[in-house]
Formats: sequence, structure tokens, C-alpha cells
Amino acid sequence: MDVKQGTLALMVLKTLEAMGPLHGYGIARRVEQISGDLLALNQGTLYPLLLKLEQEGAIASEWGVSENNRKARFYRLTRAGRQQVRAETRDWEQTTALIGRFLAIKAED
Amino acid sequence: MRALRRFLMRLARSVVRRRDEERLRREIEEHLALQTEENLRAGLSPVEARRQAVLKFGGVESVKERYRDEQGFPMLENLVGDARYGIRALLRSPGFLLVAVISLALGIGANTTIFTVANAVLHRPLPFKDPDKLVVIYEQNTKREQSRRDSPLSAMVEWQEKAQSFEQIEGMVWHSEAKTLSGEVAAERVTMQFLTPGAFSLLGVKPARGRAFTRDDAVPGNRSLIISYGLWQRRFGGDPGVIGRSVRVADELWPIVGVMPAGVWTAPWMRNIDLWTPIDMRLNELTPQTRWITTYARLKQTVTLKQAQAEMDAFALRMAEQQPDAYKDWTVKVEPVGETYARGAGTALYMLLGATGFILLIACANVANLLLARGAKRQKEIAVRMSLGAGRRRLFQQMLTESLLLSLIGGAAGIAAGRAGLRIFLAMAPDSFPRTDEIAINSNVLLFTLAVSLLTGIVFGLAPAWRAAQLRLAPMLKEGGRQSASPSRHRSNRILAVCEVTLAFVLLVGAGLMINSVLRLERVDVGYKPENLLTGRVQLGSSKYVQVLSGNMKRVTPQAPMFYQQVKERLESIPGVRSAAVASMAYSQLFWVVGRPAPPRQQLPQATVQEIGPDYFETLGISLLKGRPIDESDREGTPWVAVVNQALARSIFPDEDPLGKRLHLRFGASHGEERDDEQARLIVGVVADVKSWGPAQRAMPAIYTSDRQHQWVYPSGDSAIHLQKMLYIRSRGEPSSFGASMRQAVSEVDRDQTVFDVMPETNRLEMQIGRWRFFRNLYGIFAGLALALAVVGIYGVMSYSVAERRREFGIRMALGAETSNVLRQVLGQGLALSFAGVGIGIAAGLGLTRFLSNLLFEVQPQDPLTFLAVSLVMLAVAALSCYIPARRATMVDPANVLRTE
Repeated sequence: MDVKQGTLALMVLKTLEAMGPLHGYGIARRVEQISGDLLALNQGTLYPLLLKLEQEGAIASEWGVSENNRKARFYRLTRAGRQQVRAETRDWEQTTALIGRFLAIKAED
Repeated sequence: MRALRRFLMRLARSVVRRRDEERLRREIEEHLALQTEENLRAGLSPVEARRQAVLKFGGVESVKERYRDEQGFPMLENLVGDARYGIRALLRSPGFLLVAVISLALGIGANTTIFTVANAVLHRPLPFKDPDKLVVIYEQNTKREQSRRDSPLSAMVEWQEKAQSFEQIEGMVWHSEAKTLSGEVAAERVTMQFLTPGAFSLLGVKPARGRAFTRDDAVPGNRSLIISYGLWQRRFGGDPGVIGRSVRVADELWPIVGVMPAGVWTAPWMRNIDLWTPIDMRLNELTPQTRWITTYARLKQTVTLKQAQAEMDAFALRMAEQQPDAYKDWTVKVEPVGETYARGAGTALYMLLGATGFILLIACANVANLLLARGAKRQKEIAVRMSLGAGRRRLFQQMLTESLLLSLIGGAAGIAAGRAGLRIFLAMAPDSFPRTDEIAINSNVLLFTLAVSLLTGIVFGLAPAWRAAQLRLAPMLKEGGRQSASPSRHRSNRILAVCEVTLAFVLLVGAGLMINSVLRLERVDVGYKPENLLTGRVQLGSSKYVQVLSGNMKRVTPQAPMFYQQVKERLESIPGVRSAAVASMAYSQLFWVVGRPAPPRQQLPQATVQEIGPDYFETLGISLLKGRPIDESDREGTPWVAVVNQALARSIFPDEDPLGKRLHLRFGASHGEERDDEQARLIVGVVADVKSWGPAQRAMPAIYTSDRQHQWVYPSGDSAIHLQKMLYIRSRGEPSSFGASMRQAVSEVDRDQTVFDVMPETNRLEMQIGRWRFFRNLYGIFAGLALALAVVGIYGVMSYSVAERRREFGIRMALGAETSNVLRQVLGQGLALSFAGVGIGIAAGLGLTRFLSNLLFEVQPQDPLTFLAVSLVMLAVAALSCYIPARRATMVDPANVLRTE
């Protein structure tokens, strides 16, 4: 399944909210694990997205040390990012609830 | 907020051009390392682990590109890149650049010039308070809309009392009167405008010193003057004590009550008024039906033009009921003063804007043609870029950027050309052209030019850019870069060439019609010989020459004819003067023929009456057709005589001999107080019609009377026939060199008098046809530009087509084709284009030239001769411009061509 525009951003933000600071590979793996291989993700596409979110101020990044002792860029959620996650989660839930109702319509209703 | 932050970050990065490529590289490296490690843990071989990691990551280059894009503004940077590339590409072919920029500079420059003029004349706010609410009320003929007249003073007074739409209604006289200002310093001629006391407050103009006019100033017997800043400086040295002082105007003392600030004017054609004075409102009772004051009004803030018009329509209906004769076919109109003041120049300027628009279109077609031809040469370059991965959209964008770049360079050159054009325009413009001193390039003009340039770039760039982007890669690469002419490109080239010919043809027809008009004007016999003739005007006004009697009558004293007699004798004694004459101005009067049943008052015929001395006809060179001229034998005691012109003889005596008939004049018709001439006058001669107002004038019936046979008491205005006279000198050499002697002659006789408007008669006539010449010259220049551009266009298309078919011509000649065959074929092809263009042009011209009819004299807008002549010129020029490419086609060396195959 392909990811819809904007959906991937929410996934990334939600992952960071749940897991705390992560490097790019960590985020990619986590997104894959949670989506349970339903998602055909080119991992590379994550990086332009991370930059975009950083420029928007939802996340911040800094150099740190990865689990195998190499330099890696770690991303964490900012306060603005937290608010964004909350707002988008709410929107998303409302949308899915609404769409769900329509999908549940049967002929005899 | 988020979007803004992202925007600012990108902007900052774009500006500092700092790219964090290194960060991404390291991140990717680390990412792949981590993934490889995980794959190794999952049991893959090291090579396979790495391979899987890279596969999973996806295309590194595309990630990098998207990452880069996210850091800056790809569109903007592409644009900058395209522009740089475009400049390099343009500089690589300087010949193309030069031709394109010159074409554009001419097209854009012509538009800039005319727009600058139109902007100043039509859109510059008038120097009045809230000019949008200021209107002029006039009467318009319902049958002939150009025919308009002022309302009588009585109507204006009635509206002042009753009309609800206006805050204020005032009146102004639309022409100035020349007066002699005398005093301690030498007498000089000044101009005076009459207006109602509130006219300045209506316009929102206040005196800089002293006071404005009050209602009291217009009470009979009271006098007051407001003087212009110019006169105040010139004559009084800016002396503040001038307020309250009296000056001598036409030999009467007038107190100065105010001085206007610099640059004040009431109408654009009245910009050098020296004195303003209130209209004597007593004239309302004296001359209720006289139409000589133009009504101005200010709309109430809440009233629209439409509402005001509706109210005036109601007034007009009532007037038509009361005076059915005077208002048959006439209505009352309310017009914003801005429109009134742009009148005359308005339509003409729109015509000129149309003409320059055509030139710009031709220039666009030209450049588009050049670009198409260039695009063909650049196919290889484009193919290479495409195969390196440039998308069609990027290519389209790149080509369009180049066009826009070209049009902006053209626009910059166009502003320079426009400035030069403006200087030419102003040098050529006749004096009557409105508001010439306000015409200048300003920010509006620059914005206009920028917009026109960008639009131009899109217009001429679209087709070539589209074509470039549509290039098919495979055949190009297969053929190894040798392009084969695509038929559709040829078609667009030809369509563009035909359009150019059409547009140029329409402009040429316009110019042709105007040239034709001016030729006819110049051929018109004005009825006298204006060469070597110097004229000047004198106005006597002092009590020495005229006495005011009761009942608004005036008596001319014997001093007046004596003054003119002495002046004439002095003029004759000037060395180099062949003869001299004195004559009154021509005044329109009623008359009737003695012995015929008298028609009702309304149907009395009218003629211009001029009082002349014995040498008048001879000095002016007016030919006598019948009978004898007025001569020395016609004195006070002898029977009164008259000479009439041909127009009068034809209209009044169509089947009779006018000689021996008697005419009786009636004075005062234009002032409300009519009085018959003392005696009837015997017609002794018939002279040719004189068109002293220029060749476009219709010959009016005219009566010449002797300046020794006249009554002495006149209704006020008509005394002018004895007081205001023209002086004429027929000289042996250049007439203008006699100006000083003429002035001297007048001041020697009476030092308080002055002669003004001294100029050679040819100059005065020239002023009359100046307007026609001006528009002919402008259209001529524009048509010339259009023709030149169209020639370049045809030449370009033909030489390109010849160059492309070199191979074909070579082979045909190798197979034995004659040079003349090839020549004929190429010429024929070019001429076919021209014929198509001329054909469409004729159709377009027949539709469009009628808009020019205001600028034409005795030439129909569809004049077949002009159309024919212009067609021939167009075809001849087109043939000439095809000839060089055609010659080149015959020069193709078959051996050479076959070798390169």
C-alpha cells in the first residue's frame, strides 16, 4: 500500500512521540514494524520529510551516537510538534469515524 | 505559522546558498550501515546484506534531489538558472539578439510614447478640486452628435435657481479676448477671460493674494480684475502692492482685486490668460438668447451623473415646449469636465494607440518567427538536454524564460526609444494639442511598459516554446542531428508572415488616407495669396475712438478711421512694402435683398461682413470675377456699395446677375438689439471665395463693404467692425522681417495702441492644417515602422525557407532546372504570402478605417484609389524583400550540395 500525502508525516510524528528521540533508520524501522509490512516504504523518502518537519518546527535534530557507536542524527519532537500530533490525531479520528459511517451504509438503511 | 516558518527557512537557505548535503550523506551512510548490520544478523551474506539495504532505501539520487528541493525554492532557482542559461544562449547569437531587440524596442517604444501622451491627456487629474464631480452642461444636436452649442445665459440663470442636482452652477467664456494693457510701461497685448463671479470657487481655485470675485463685482458699473501670476511677475515685478491698484485695459481703468497662484487655468486651451473679469450679469436681460457662455456645474456629492442628466432632460423638454424652433433636434447634455477637456485628442489618441498596438503585434510576429527559425537550429541542443533527463515542462519553462528575458531587454530598449519618440511627438504636436507640458514618462508609464513587455514575451514566446517542448527525441537522434523541416513549422512561419503583411497593410492604408487628405488640403485654393503677406491685429478701445451711449449703443468717433488711415499710410511708406491694406475682422450679420418679399426674421440669410479699404483685394491677391472692386471713388457721399463673394452670389442669386442688386444689412442680431444699416448697398462686384480659416473651411457667403461708407452708431458689439482691424503688408521679401516696422507704425500713430498676432499669413494658414499634418506624420511614421518590420519578417521567412531547402534546390538544378525557374518559384511563394496578407488586409482595412473619418478631409475611409495604391506598394516592397532570398536559392551550387549529402 502506498502512503497518502501527509499520512507519513503523522506516522513519523506519532512514532517520535511514543519512542522519544530516534535516528532516521530507527524511525524507518519503527514505521515498518508498526505497519506490519502493509506499507511499501522507500526508506530514503523519509529524509526529505524529516527536513520538512524540522523546517516547520515540529521536530528538532542533533548529532548523537548510534547503538554501534557511530555518529547519527537524532530527531525529537518539539513542543509545537506535540501540539501538532494532538491536533492531527483528533482530525484523523474524526475523519475516519465519519468515513466509517458512510462505509457502513447498506442498501436497506 | 508552520508554512511561514518553513518558507522562511527555505528562503534563508536560498539566500545564503548553503546546502547541507554533507548531513544527508552521513545520514544515508549511517542508515545503510545500520540496515546492512540488521540484514547480516538476519543471516544474509555481506554482499547481499548491503544490496538489500540499498534496495530498501530506494533511489539515492532522487532522495537527494527532493532533499535539495526542500532546502530551497526549486522553481526560483530554476528560473535563475534558466535566465543565466538564456543570457548565454542569446549572447551566442548576437545577430538574432540585435534584430529581435530592435524589433521589440520599436514596437514597445511606439506604445510607450503614445501611452505616455494618452496617460497625461486622458488620465491625469485636472488641477481642480474634486474634478470628478465637475461637469459641463451643453446642448447637443440629436442628428449630428459632434454639433454642440452653449446654452443661453437665461437658461443658466434658471438652472442656478431651480436645478436640484448641483451644488453650484457657473459660467465661463471659452475663448479669450485680446486687450491692450497700457500705462507707464509700453502698451502690451493681454488676454482676458470672462467668467461668472463664482466660477473660481466652483473649480476650487483661490487667489494667492487679494480676494476672489464676489457677486457685487458683476453688478453693472462695477469693475474688477484678477491677474495671473505670469502677468504679475512680468508687468508688476511681483509687487504685493498691486492689489487695489488700477490698470488701464482698453483705455478704461480696472482695479486689481486679486492675483492667482502660478499655473492656474480654467480650460486646457486657455492656459495663458493674463486677466480674469466677471461677466456683467446685466447681459442676461440684454441678451437672453445669446449663447456665448459655457455652463459649468458641480454635482452634489450624493448625485450621480445619470441623475443629473435625467434632471436636465426634464429642463430640455420644457425648453423645447417654450421655444420649439430653437430646440428642434437639440437636447441638453451633462458631461464630466475631464471628457470635455480631452475632446478632440481622445478619439485620435485611441486611434494612435491602436496603430502602435498593431506595430507591437508585427514586432511580436517577427520575433516569434526568428525564434521558430532559431528553435530549428537548436533542435540538437534540445535533444541532448532531453536525453539527459530534462522534462518537457522544464524545457518549455526554459524556452519561455528566454523569451521573457528577450522581451525585458526589448522593453528596456523600448523605454529609451519611447523617450526619444516622445521628444519627436512633442516637437511635432500642434499648439492646439492639449496639455503638452504635462506629458512625461512617470511610474504609470513604466508599469505599462513592463506589463506590455512581459505580455509581449509570452505572446511571441509561447508557440516556439511549445514547439521546442514537443520535439520527438527518437527521430532526432536517429538522423544524427540533421533536422528535416516539419510542415507544421513552415505553416506557422507563413501564418505569421501573412499576419505581419495584414497588419502593416492596415496601417499603411490609414497613413495613405491621411496623406491623401493633406494632399487635397494643400491643393485647395484658399482664394487669396498668403505668400509674402504679413498680418497683424489692432483693437481700439479708448474713449478717444468710441463713446458709450445710453441703451447699450456705441458711437465710433472720426478718430478711429483717421487712426487706421494714418497707420496704412505709414505701412505703405516702409521700404520693401509693395502695398498695404486695412480691413475689419469678418462678423456674421443678417441681411436681406432689397426688392424681394422680406422673409420672416428667423429666415433672414446670414453672411460674414467685412469692412475694407480700397487696396484690400489687390493686397491680398483676391481675384475679382465680375464688376469692379471697392475703390477710391466710393466715399461717404456716394451711393453705398458692396462686393460679394461667389458663395453668396451662388446661394442668393442662383439664376440672376448679382450686379446691380441691393443688399440691406441688419446689425445686432447676436446681441439681442437689432438695428438696420442706414442704407442699402449696391452690389458692384463679385470676388472669389476666401478661406482664411484654412482650406478645410467651407466657403461662407461674404459681403465686403467700404470703410468710408458706414453709420457711426452701433449696438455695442458691432462697433468692433470699425475698431478691431487687421493690418496687411504685401512685401517684396520675407514678410516676417517687417514685423518691427508694423509695430513701429502703430505706436507712432498712437503710443497707447499695440498690434498683436503679428505673423506671416502662411504661418496662420499652417496652423489651420497643422492638425492634419500632425496626424498624417504620426501615422506615416507608424506605417513606415510597420512596413519595415513586415519586410524584415517576410525576408526572414523566405531566407529561412530557402536555407532549409538548399538541398532541394541543389538537386533540382543538378537535374537541369533553370535558374529562372527557381527564382520564379521562390518569388511566387513569397508573393503568395503577400497576396494573402494584402487580401485579408483589404477586408480588415475596410472595416477599420471608418474610425479614422474624423481625421480625413474629403477622402472616404474606403477610398478605392488609396487601397489600390497601398496594395501595390505593399506587394512591390514584399517582392523586393523576397528577391534576395530568391537570388540566393539560384546561387546554390549543385555539386556542393550533392557532395555533402
